Amino acid sequence: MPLDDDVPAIETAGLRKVYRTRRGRTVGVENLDLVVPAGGVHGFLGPNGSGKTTTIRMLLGLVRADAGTMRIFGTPVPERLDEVVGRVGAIVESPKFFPAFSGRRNLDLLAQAIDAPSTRVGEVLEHVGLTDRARDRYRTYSLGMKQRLAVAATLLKDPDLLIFDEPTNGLDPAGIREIRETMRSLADQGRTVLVSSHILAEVEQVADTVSIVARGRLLASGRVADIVGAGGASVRVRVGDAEAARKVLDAAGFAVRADHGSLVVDGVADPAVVSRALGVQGLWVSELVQEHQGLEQVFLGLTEGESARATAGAAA
Amino acid sequence: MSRLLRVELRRYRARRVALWVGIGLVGVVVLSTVVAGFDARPPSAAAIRQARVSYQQQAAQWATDGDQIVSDCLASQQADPNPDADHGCDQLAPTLDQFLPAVQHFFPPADPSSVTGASADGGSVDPAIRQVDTSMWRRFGGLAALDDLAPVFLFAVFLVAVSFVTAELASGAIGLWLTFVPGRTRVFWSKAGAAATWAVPLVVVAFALAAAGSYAAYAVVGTVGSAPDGVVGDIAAFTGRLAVAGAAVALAGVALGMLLRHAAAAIGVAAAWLGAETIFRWGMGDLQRWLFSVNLSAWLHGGEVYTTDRCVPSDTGMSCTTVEHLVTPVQGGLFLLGVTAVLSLAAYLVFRRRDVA
Repeated sequence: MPLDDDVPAIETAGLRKVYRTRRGRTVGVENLDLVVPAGGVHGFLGPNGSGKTTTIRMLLGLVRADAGTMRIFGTPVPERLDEVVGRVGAIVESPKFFPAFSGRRNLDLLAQAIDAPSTRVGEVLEHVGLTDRARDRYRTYSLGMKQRLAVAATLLKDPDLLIFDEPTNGLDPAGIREIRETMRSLADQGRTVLVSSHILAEVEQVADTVSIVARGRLLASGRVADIVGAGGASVRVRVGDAEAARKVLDAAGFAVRADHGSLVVDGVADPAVVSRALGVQGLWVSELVQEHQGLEQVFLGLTEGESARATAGAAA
Repeated sequence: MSRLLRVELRRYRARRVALWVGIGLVGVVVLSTVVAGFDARPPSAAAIRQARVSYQQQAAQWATDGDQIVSDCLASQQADPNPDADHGCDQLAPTLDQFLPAVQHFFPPADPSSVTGASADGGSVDPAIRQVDTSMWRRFGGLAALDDLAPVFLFAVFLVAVSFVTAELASGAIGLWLTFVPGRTRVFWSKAGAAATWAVPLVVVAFALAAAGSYAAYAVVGTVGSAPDGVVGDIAAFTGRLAVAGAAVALAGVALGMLLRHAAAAIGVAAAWLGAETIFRWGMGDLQRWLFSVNLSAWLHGGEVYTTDRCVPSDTGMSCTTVEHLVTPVQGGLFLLGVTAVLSLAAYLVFRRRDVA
């Protein structure tokens, strides 16, 4: 089915899930408004226990939401999940197949359940490079092979939306790269890929847009470049007389701090203005480096801030 | 639904547990055939000689003490507050038949005196109870012995059905399955349907093989005996009822597996229930009518008889008589249906609402 770019692949509003445990109630997801645009790779970031997997489970009808609405390609779920599930391929946490069945038999059963042609199984096995081991029992597979079989399973439906929940957990570097390339290639084919992860470098390399959650709440969402840019850029300056330089920059209204013998000027879009301000006063720059915040810094800043707010709220 | 059912049937067939249980059932059939082979052998000349010697010794003893024993028996009968009591004082004298080893045939003898049940003398006044007590499955013979295998076959079906769903729940494969087929109603009933569908050929084939093996064992030694009227119909009816019971037990297995999520828990609960029924049955009085084992037997055997004691005060304390009660096959069938329906419905509702990890 062709994608309508105006309709988000995933949209949630006011989503809430509370788990009842022996110790009481634990909020898994709290008032989550998530929008995943159609097409491209969307990173769903958050520390462990932040509600990523719970959100994905709710979208797939595995877990019941306590409140809120969810839509996949504009179709309300889980009420009408049947109508849209054929367009969604998902791996939730670690792959879970029947251990005593071969990889091929596992896929055969899934293919028969959705009435996919039997040739499709061979195609997806070929696609993930598992043809040679397809007749071996699933329990004999390495973690990487299990993950590849799971990817193959998601491709059985030829889906428009792929959901990968922590897809690289336990994989070696080659496996991680393989999964990353697979996700990128799927997105380049016009599909939407939602990848949840707490490994930021992995997501930063492949994602077009991201949503950051912590403690079940959405903290930020948007294009990666925008989110990183919102964190601002800094300029690191090394000058012979650092004290004099600091006074000059302070007087010019810059936010300056000392850092390991250098001065760091925050919130500066153009490094030339720093160089010019110092030069006018006869202070010549020996080193000037523009520093952008990475996704990791933004993520840590947001999630640590949320954690501090939660702690303060609990103390109050 | 039919597509999902076909997929579940394929998965059921491919399961290793189903294979091992199938092999186990073949082993049970072979073992029952071997046992039938021993039972089928006519008594040896030495055994008959020994029986005659024992009879002669007993007859000599009776010649000395018989009058006194009969006199004591009659006195006891006269003292019985029940005026209709018959202590069988005229049947106390030893006879040679009592000592000769019985010749067992595959087909049950037509003579109801060979019945093994509580009313072996055919003394029950209720014709319905008498009919159950003297049915083919209550008599000596290779065919009647086969009904002891029915619980084994049903347990095998239960085992496979329980593991059919608990394996999926334990491995987490149910989560992946639901991402392909999110309709939980269809998913649940296709699993239940597959387990029930497979149960039918499993118990029918196992019973047919056991019957054939037993028949062959008796045929080899020439003790098949003559087939009583309507025996083929009786066997067919029993097989049909066994097939229905197999399907019901499979559904109950799926339901318990789904409710308890662990095979050991489901099997343990079922075993504990049946064990408690066996242990406490005799103290349950009329509640025996609602025991699972009693109703299952009633369904399989065309009726089941249980007894209670009715006690009244007498000069010597309490005088008790044993009263027989009939559980009809209709009640047995409805009971099985009810239990299966309630368990299945409960499991379905839980599965619909349960969060899947």
